[in-house]
Amino acid sequence: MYKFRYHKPSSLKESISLFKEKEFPKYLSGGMTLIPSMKQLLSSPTDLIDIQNIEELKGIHKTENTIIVGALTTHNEVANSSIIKKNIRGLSYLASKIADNAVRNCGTIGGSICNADPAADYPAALLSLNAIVTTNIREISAKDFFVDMFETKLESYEIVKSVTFPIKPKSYYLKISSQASKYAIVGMFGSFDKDKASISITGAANKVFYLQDVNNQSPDKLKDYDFQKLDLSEININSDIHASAEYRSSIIKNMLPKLINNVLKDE
Amino acid sequence: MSDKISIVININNKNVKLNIEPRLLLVDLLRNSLELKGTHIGCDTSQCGSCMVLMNEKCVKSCSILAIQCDKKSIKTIESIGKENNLSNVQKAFKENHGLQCGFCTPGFIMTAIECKKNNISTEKEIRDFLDGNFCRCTGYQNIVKSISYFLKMS
Repeated sequence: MYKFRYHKPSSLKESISLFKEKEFPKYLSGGMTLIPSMKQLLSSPTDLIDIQNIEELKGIHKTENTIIVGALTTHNEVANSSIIKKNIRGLSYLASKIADNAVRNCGTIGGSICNADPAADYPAALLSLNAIVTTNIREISAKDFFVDMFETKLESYEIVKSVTFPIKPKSYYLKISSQASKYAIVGMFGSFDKDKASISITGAANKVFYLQDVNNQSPDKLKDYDFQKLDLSEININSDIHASAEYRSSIIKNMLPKLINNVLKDE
Repeated sequence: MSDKISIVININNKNVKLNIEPRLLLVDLLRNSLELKGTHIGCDTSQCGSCMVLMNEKCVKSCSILAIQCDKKSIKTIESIGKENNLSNVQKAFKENHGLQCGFCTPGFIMTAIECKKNNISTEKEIRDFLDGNFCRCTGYQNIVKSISYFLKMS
């Protein structure tokens, strides 16, 4: 590993002022993407600012209509949280399918969404559920947050504090993943806002996207919907070593009925 | 640049004071500085799980974390799990069920098996899902799954 400086601030304010002072700093939370990237020199910050001790970034809280998940909450904490299991079943299931157990013990929701990997799982849940990302300076809705591949709306120094999800017991996540990395080849998150569907797809394009044709349809309509006729020509579906665009499109069309069934199923 | 920083890590139930460079990976601290060679480096790219250790009682791949991130935490390696003449239950289970061949990946599997038990995992499918993140290139996993099933049933 190359040489870098390390800082461990105990407040948000200190983290941000450190960030602004340094040449090419990066915030470190779980480090499950950052450390392996640094080992391969895919990323080479001069300074790491380890935010693991900042209390206000921790914890899962329930309000009347929402669940607020602190940025430092690990994937396993989300997967095992009884509050999340009960109120947003799909989110808890999604978190339990991220990477492997050791990664889920360290990797955090804040780190994952800030990295904005186009094949990461969480972006699908944020978009489908219309979550709000709260940072040290503002609130950003999920549809504005994810800008492009590895690119978010965040300023370089900005820190995500929490993600606020509306309560949606009827929600689900399905994915076909790379067997080696568990990253999504196609991942889809479905939920209903009253009687309107909201389905988003990750892993299949440069960033997470809504399935416009299906969104806003009622459960009854979707039960008999002919997904094979779905027009995906407007979306630039990826081709890579894992799957061709044609194969990904086929996965989307064939996995949708199963997703809808699972969303509507009562647990 | 990058002066050394003083930290304390509880390693195998002993507080160890360390003065380290931030760039030192946990696995290199364990193997090179502390001579705990039971934790293996298989891939060095976060995939194989041979370097698995317990951090605050939970599995972590020690090649993917900086030693400095472990300040004030507890780390347990395979050296704390049992002794050659006094094997722990999980080691007995692997021995009795032929859960290893070359043995290179075994320390990692043992750590994962320990967390398996803490998480109340019971069915074969759950064990197999939980083993995602540990590679074995000899056994074909059959006897590893058998060993862990056996271990989970031990009191």
